[in-house]
Amino acid sequence: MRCSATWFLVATLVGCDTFSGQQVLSGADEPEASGTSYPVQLVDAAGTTHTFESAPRRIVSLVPSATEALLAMALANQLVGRTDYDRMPELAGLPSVGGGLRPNLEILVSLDLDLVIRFAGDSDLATAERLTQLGIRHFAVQPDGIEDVLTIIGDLGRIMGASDAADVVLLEIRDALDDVARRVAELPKPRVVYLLGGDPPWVAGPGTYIDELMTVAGGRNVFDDLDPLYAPVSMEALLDRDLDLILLSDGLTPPSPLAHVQSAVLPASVEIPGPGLGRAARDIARLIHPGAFDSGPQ
Amino acid sequence: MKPITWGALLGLAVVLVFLLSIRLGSVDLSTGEVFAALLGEGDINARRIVVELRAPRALMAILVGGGLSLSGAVFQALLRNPLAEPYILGISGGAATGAVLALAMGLAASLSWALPAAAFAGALLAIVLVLRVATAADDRVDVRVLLLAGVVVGAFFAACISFVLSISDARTMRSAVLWMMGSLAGSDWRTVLMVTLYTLPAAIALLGLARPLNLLLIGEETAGYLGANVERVKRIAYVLASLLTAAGVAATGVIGFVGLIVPHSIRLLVGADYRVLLPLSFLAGAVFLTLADVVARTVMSPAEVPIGVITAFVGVPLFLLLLRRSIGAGTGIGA
Amino acid sequence: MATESSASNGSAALGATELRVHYPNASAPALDSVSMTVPRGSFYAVLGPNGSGKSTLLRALLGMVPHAAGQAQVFGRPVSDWDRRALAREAGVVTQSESVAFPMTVRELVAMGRYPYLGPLQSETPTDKEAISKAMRMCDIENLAQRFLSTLSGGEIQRTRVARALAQEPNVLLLDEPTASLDVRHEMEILELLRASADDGMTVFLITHHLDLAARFADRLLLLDRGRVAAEGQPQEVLREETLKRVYEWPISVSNDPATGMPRVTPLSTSSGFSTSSGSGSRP
Repeated sequence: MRCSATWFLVATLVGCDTFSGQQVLSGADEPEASGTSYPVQLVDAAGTTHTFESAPRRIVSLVPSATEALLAMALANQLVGRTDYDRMPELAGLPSVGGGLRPNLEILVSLDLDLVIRFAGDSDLATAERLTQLGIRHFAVQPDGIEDVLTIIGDLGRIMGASDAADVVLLEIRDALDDVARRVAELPKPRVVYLLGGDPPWVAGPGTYIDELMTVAGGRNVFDDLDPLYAPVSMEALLDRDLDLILLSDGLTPPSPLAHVQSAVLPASVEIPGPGLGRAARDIARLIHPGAFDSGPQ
Repeated sequence: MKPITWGALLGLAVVLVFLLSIRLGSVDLSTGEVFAALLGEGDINARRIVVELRAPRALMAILVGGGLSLSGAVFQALLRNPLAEPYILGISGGAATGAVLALAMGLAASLSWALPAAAFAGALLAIVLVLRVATAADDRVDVRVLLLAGVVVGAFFAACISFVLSISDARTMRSAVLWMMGSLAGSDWRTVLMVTLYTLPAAIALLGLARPLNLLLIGEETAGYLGANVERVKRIAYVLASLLTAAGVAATGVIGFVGLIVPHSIRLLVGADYRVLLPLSFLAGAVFLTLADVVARTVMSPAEVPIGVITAFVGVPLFLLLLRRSIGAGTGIGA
Repeated sequence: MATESSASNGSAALGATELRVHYPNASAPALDSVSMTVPRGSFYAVLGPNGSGKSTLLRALLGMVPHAAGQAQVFGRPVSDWDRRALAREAGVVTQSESVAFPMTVRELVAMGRYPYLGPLQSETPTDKEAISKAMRMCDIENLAQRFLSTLSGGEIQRTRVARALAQEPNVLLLDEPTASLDVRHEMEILELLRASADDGMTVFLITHHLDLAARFADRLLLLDRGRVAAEGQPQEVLREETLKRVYEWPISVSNDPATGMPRVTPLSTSSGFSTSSGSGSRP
């Protein structure tokens, strides 16, 4: 190595100290009164306690559920960037930071952010650390199940000073879920499976969002005895478990040995936990118990 | 004096490529902004980008690119095999197994340094295992056994990885595959410091082994008759080159082709004298990987092309060109 | 036929005393109670059938294989006392074969002979350059200096290797069948070169299969048989029919070559109809 590089390294390490990040937000405009009083303190899904002095004004969400939640609460203006997976028209003009996992740090830094919403868990610990090093606040969310979605909506509402909007969304979801629960309450539970494709085929096991939706929709996930989350199963197991209905991920066809079983394809949006879960529950319930939805609007 | 000229040119190239690497990125910064950032002035975000993101990454590319090329050259002499490269003795397999296990067991969640530490531990396991197998009862290292043991141990680790991945969930699998493809994205000053601590001493020590390595090229028996302590040289070369590789892999994952192509290219240009080959390989490898990294993170911004893809796409045609020229000139690649 | 005691004889370049070498997993020792002396400045040839231990003897004399018993000395000191680099400045070796892993020029290969004199990163001094040039001159390969080894003929490669050994400026040269695959001219060139070196004071230790040429060029011969000394001494003493027949297990006739005045060895045919013109002794 050349001497010049070594000296540069030393010099920069010394200069590095001035760049340690800070956790206190700069004072921004006071939010319109929307049901939150600051300062707000809450704990994120990674166990970190955050204190917000005011509503964040410049946000990037790396988590689709959170992005959808923000849109549902009419907070799209606060988003200044998107991921490659965010295809909503409202966000089309925003710069992309890459994927939700391992986003492009340079672009994140250049966006001058008040807040990054990221995945909790260990799938991308490096990004969380780099964000801390760079002095960018990050809030971890767990977007796995129905309860998680509701928590995200509530938390984001409080953070953004938009608890009222959050409550509206939550109410809508709860109404939809109640409606579905009422319609399917007394009905027998058909044996259902959700296939994600692959060979051997992958199914949604217990603890997944889809599993919860299927249960809420009055069905019984025949693979609720597997290890949690998604897992591959053999074709024999599929045949053995005596299915009433196969739900398929978008773009799939049922495997030929199961051609005799009734099947339906669900749009890909159903798989993503988000504020649309009320509608998703209803869509699935309609497939599982068509008879229960003959009457009544919505 | 031709090697000296090469040395000066490559040294200059390292500096230039470093500057290029902090100038270019996903975010467009002007040269003025970059220099201001280096001096600690200007927009704070520009400073963050240049000093926290680009600079350590460029340095990591220099260290790892140089280290891999150096260890590739050393393995080629040690094993007397032009196909030798840093990962041939199972080091990458061991490191990847360590990393995959750490990911699968969720260790990486609790301790952020668990992943590189596990990778390094796996690499060490491979290094020790292969050396034990290849050391005969009288403490002599048979390099043919070394090669075979390395390849076999590597295959074993590859099977371990396949197994662990087959029973893990989608997130683990994705993280594991991404790690194994190699990336300089996670380079921060702390990791750069750690890699420097391994790379610099090992590199300097290996440079001092240049003469005995030259002798090894002729054959162990003749090398001994010319005064080399062959067993000691083999052992030291093996350990140092392996540690150099392990440090690089633990920090950046498995970046391929560099350790194979760069030493051969330098050899085709300046000959097989290791006193020249080793330092020039280090410099050339540093330049090569830094350039590859610039391409990897700008060509499809904001996404990053895995750097192993760039090293292959760029390195292989370049190398084939050199090879054709040299075959025409009658030097070729084998004896 | 005297076997001089080599223990403290100052005029011996190389010597072995009751030397025994046993390779692991071998049923019999490669060398068994071998005692021999190579006088300083002599041309000493080692003969014997395949597997008789000639190459092992060379290795053992320079401490490259462990001794199960006995001793080997180089210039009066036990070989185990010698520092490797110091030994390399005294003894230049041309092994039976070697393969160079990567392309190299003639000069680069010869230059490696100077390694025992140079520090880890030290460059060649004028002394080194002179030694290299002189060695290449002696072996008549100066015009090949920049050629790559892969483009050379067998004879040229051998001369290059001898030049490398000479570049070490040794006091003893050890060569293991250096002329094995060479034609008459190249073989004679090397042998004459070795003879001239010996005449200049170099000690030459040559392992060879060519009994006639050994007889012509060497001052002393050593005949090995299955790891043991069958005979040692002047050519006429060693090259006796009964000895050779026993060691080589083949009918051999020894006569006097009028052209050289030295013994000429002729292997006989075991089938019918071959007679030597001036042979003595019986035929099968």
